[in-house]
Amino acid sequence: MGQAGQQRSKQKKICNKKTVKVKKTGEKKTPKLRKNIQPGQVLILLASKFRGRRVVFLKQLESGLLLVTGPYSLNGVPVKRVNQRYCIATSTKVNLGGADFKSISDAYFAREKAKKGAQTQEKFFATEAPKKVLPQEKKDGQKKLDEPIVKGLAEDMKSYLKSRFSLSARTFPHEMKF
Amino acid sequence: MPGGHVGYQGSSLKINPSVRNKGTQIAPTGHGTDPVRLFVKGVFMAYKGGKKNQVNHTQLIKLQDVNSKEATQFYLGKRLAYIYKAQKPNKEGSRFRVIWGKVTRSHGNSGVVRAKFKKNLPPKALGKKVRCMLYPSSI
Repeated sequence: MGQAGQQRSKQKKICNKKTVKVKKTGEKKTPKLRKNIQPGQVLILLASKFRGRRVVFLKQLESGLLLVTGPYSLNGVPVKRVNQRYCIATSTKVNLGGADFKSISDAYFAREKAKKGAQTQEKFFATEAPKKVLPQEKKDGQKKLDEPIVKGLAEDMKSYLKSRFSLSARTFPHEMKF
Repeated sequence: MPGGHVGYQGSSLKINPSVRNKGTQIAPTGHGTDPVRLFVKGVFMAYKGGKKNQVNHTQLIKLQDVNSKEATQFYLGKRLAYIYKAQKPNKEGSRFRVIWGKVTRSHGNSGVVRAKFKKNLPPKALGKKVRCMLYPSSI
């Protein structure tokens, strides 16, 4: 005496044969940006080396990741990509002051492709991997980007961005208003 | 996947399983290193089940100060981490191991939550702490 009557008599759905749009291979949609995330918004990073840091949101990149910056001089967070799901948007907004980040896209963060050339004797026997140093132009670009933002910040906002978010004994996120 | 990070950042206890300095303390950086807690504390109460049955693939977690069904809404989908210590250190020198899971739904009316972990939690974890991270975030 197996199945319940409701299960057995479940009506079969008759699918309407709709014309299905053929997706072009490689066509990707940029994931939706949460409504409360606007350029200049302060976000709290939830994971990674910089968890707890408050950062300034710049723009959403094509891949859907969010472009953020510390600014570097305030909290050590460089220009960085962050997934929406790994940050909390606060209601605090910062004036970006015309900072120029139009040139930064996903390509800026691409890894340097190791040149698959002839493996020289030295390379093969090298015991230490060459150190990956951030190129000077990226460091300069970081400074240039942060300048107008930092200029427009009040002292209390600067210390706010320097500080880190943390849950304490009596604070619970489901009761908090960010 | 940033799944490796569970620790208090900047604390002297080397909890972070993916810390690269082997066996040494996390060196303080110039930008403040007080411990930062970005998870909600929880306790692994029980496996799902009734008087005679136990369903091992679903765990019941009690999150701190979540006392009603409405309050659990925030935590649905959040990642959970059961952290335990082992004898042998891993590649990065950490002795801490993690079993990851997520909050699947609420359980009852008083804020208990059901969870599923990648591997079922071992029974020695009963009564032990579980961390509910704040990601994936929807706020």
